[in-house]
Amino acid sequence: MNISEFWGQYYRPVIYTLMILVTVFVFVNPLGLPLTVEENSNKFYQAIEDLPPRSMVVINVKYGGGAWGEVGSAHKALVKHCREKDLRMVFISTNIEGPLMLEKVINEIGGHSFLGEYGVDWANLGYSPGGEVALASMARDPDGFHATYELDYYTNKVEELPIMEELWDHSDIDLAVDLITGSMLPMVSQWYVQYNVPIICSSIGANTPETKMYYEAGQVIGYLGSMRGAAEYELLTGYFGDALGSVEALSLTHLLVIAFLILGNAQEAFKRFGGKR
Amino acid sequence: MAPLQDFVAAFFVLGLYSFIYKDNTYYKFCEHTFLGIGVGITVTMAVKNVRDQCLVPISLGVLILVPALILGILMLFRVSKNYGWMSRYSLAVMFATVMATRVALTVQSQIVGQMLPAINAPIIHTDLVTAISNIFGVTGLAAACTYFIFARKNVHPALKRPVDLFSKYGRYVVMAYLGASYSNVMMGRISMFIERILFLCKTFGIA
Repeated sequence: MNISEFWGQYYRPVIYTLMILVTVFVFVNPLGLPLTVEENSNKFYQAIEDLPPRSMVVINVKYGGGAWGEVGSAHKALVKHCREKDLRMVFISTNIEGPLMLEKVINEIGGHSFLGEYGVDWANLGYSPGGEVALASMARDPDGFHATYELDYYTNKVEELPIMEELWDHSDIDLAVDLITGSMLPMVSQWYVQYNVPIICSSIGANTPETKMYYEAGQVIGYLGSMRGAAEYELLTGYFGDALGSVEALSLTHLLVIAFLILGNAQEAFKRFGGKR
Repeated sequence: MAPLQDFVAAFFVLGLYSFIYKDNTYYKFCEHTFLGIGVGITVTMAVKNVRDQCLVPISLGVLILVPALILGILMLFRVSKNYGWMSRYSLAVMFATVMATRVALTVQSQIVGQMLPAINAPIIHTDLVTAISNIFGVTGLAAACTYFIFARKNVHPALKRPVDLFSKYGRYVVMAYLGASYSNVMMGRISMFIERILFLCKTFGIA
């Protein structure tokens, strides 16, 4: 079996093995590569920094387990950041897995008590079906949130939560955060275009170009793109988590992919032109 | 030491990655378990949502939800061969609501909201990088739009060559966007992979 045949048969295990080796190597021996903070991440951070204490932040947890590696770190850092700034957080979700992801984040950063007193400093309203229609319903005045949610995720009556006495519709939101796997079009359309609610976002890599589009158009204040954006945000906030620890592995595995692209093209060129000679 | 559930998760992660070598029984076991758990979680959450957001509020006197409950029940008739048509009423209401909510604002957010900054981008700018970026942005937008004008074959012969060239530039712009988009998808997939490797390293005390 020559190299070409071996590669044709075992390319998948070889690529994965090399990627695993590179990743584990970087985890065991961090290289200390510099990380620059992009403008969009800085604006995401600044949007929260600029809020006065006790501001109302509505966080839409719209991602599931598959996006944990990309959005989870940003979510954890965001909750810690909001808590440090003494901001009030109300979690909503338009993804059925969202509340589960939120529970995972809360458990990993120190439990429910870390977020302060439930119902006063924060609330988890849970999942609301309907996607964009649900977001439209929540923002509608005079009592969109109360009309959409009768009970919160823990089956408390929403009207009995003190924090909800100050969150009725779009006019009570100081900042909206979209943590997403899909498009952020629903929130931009229903909350920004309709009511001019300031929005920031953390998205998975596949959606980053689309999110950038809204950012460039001024419809989104700032955004974090995938694990790289989460690492930048961790650097800014000082909450060193998994994203910052993984960003070097991200750089090296990309170099590996580029090397494979070059090798693959060289092999193809050799096949096409080398054989004729 | 990592908690027991982490070792269980690691067992399944390794099982799913064993597919890298070849299809095997260990992989199949993990895959089927994952599917079962996934469906279980979805069904549980769905039942919880129906209970918390519909049945309990109705029991508390929020009767406006009764029509929604009836429409929701009608959706279940989709599984019936004889009464499947009843679910069309629910679907009709759903489509109408979604379309009414989305259409007007989507035009504003995706077309008008995107066009205005592109049109207003100053191509003469004190910052050279911004100026070049804006020139590419504005000409790229126009060229990409030209690429999708399928009647361009019918233009005046004198204009055919320039229009074709501009359209070709538009094609490169579209390809560049697709390339950027694909590389972001790849970054996302690699991020997921790295996160799992980090999880395994932490679970087995390597990192």
